Amino acid sequence: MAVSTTSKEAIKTALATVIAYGLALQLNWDKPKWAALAVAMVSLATIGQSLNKAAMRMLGTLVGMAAALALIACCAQLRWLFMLLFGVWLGYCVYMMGGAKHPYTWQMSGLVATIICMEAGGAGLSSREVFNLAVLRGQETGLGVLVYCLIAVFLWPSGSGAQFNAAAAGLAGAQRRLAGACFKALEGAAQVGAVGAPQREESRLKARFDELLTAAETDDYAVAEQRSQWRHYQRLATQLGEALARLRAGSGDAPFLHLTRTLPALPAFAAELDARLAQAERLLENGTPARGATTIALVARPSAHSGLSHFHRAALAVTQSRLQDLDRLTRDILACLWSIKHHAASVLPLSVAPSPSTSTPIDPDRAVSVVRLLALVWLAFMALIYVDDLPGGNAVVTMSCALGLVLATNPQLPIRRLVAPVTLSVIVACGCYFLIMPRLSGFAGLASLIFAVTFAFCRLCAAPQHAMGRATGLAMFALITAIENRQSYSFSQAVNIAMAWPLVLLLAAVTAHIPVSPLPEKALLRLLRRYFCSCAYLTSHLPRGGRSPIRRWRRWQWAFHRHELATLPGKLRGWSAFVDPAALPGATPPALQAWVGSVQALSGCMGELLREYDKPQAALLLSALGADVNAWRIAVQRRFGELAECPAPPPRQVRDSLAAHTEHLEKHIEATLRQATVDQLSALERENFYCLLGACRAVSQALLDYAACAAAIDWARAREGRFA
Amino acid sequence: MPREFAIGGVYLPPLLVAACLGVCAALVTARLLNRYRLSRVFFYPPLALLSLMIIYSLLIGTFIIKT
Repeated sequence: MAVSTTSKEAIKTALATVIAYGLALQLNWDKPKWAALAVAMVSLATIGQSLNKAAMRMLGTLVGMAAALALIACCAQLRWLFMLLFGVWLGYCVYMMGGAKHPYTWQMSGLVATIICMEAGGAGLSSREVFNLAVLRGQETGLGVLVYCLIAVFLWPSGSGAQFNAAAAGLAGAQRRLAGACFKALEGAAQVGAVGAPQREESRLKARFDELLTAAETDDYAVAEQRSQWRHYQRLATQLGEALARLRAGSGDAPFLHLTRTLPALPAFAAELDARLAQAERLLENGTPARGATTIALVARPSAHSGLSHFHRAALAVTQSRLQDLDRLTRDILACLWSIKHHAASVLPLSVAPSPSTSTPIDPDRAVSVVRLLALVWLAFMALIYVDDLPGGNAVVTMSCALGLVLATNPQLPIRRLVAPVTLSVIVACGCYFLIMPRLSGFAGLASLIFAVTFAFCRLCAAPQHAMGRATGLAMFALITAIENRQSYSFSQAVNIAMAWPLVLLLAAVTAHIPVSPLPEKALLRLLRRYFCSCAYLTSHLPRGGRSPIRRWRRWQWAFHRHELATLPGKLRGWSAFVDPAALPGATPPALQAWVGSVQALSGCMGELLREYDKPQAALLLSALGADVNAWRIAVQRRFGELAECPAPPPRQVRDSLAAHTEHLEKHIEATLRQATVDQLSALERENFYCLLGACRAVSQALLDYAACAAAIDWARAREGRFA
Repeated sequence: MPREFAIGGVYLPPLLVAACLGVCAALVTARLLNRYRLSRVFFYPPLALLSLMIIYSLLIGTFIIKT
């Protein structure tokens, strides 16, 4: 009989849980539930993912142990000082959790410190007992992690290698389809909107590739040996996605440019790019040798510029520049994949400059998560101190912290979605505890029960979207049954834990509004306001000729707004998935996807504008047209400021306000270029100027596209108050 | 006299029952106010919801369950 993959994974987790319980009980360790919890949390789809999470859990536990011991040593008898220092540590962990590096380690560091401090405080342990408790936590976690890793390695091992290779080939295929759709839109053979679906597929597969690369580096020797080449490919694939997004953003100009006529080699270029990406896909699928890349020169027809306005010439220059970027990137990708498949050691340098680093010391959303979690934990502390016989006792603080950490990871998650999994888990766990466990007489019976319950939770909640239900079920079973060698059955203990959950959920529902509303439409408004404020700042502080801001504060501000520009479209996409169309009329999934796509395109155009503004420009053009370009910049900056206040202005209003500047600029350019001699304006300077003009125009066009997409949604309703 | 509720031999305090009913009633009211777009008349709906929960719990406790 064939066993399905989900059943195999469920059997592995159930078996590991039974063995972890068995060993902990055999060794006469207290709290074997901690080992079971470690098994439940590190069991993932592949060995690599499990090993990575296990390593992070273990490291986080060790750090949390040290932090808890330090906190208790410093201020065990000083309640308020303890709360203050504990809050600082927890806040730091939550802030670090929002970063890209080892988020789970920080989550565990905060949680383990809370568990040890609360257990120690609740039981009034001596310093030696606290130390033993901390060591016990480390032991149990180590045991659970070790048992699951051994089971995962020896029983139906599912390495990440095959899935990773499939994901890499899928990504190459998705990028090929996206490139095809972009070229069709560019040639005028398809609508720009037709690119949306391939772009979403590319984003999804890119995220999957990134996730599996980290896992495959851990459990696949071939990937681990060529880690640097694979990371290089990852950077190239990211840049290719960004370049294709920019190409898509510029395809709105296709009807004016008649690209198949102005760039006669465009169809051949598109076919060559398609062939290269198909080669990349084949290389990733079965490693067949690639043919050499053919060079297709994208030279504009000599008469192409006649009849085109200066802005359209600029759009043509920008399109050519984008196509050249694609040419270089696809060459690099082929060379990189060839080196991977032929085990070459060298890593080729990037031929297209990567996007500037987006690391910044302050992220407002992470700061919000810190404030929210601290509010929840401190409220639970206050309830513990001032409410007599609080159900759950010290566990309320621990449970609040655990829930708060989960909510900090998924800020979009509504509290009401947790009610059903928590209620069901409590019912199942209480049923096992009261009705089945007292009838068991030995470990064989207990092991059968543990196996059955764990298997059932893992099997029924195998889908990724049910991961929360699976984790809640397994955690609740371990907490409520509280299996020990000297098992006692306390009605009040189990009911107290069950009663503590509604209280914790209520506290979480209250603190979810601190410091900002958790409603998705409010979050969209808030993020959009920040986004346009950053756009306005960057537009008002455009660098000139490679000069970066001198003052440290200015540099920091610049980096902060660049970070916002790069990250906010992704956050908007995340929140938009949770918007209720009944609360925000017009916000249907396609409308929201188009709207987020327009914000993403605006980010790409802004990035291009910042790069082009950095390039040196001819003195003649600067003196003649500087004032006009500056006037355009101020107009766009003002428009961004208005958008921060009102996210959906009438498209006609946006078009009219920008059209006046565009017409004025067009006339001045014509006059200036007519007077300019060959000595005054070199070919490079002319190209730089057209690229800058094209970037300015692309921002204006992206703003118009944004206004058209935003007009489909009733943003006034988003400002109205609503019950969560 | 306050009356305790017995479910399968487990006695529940009347205030707990009143609080549960109060929360449910407040949630239903909030849903209705959302539906008929009346929630916009409140300055800060989360606080209004909390107040509704307390008011309903007290009313149910005083007049229906008689805690």
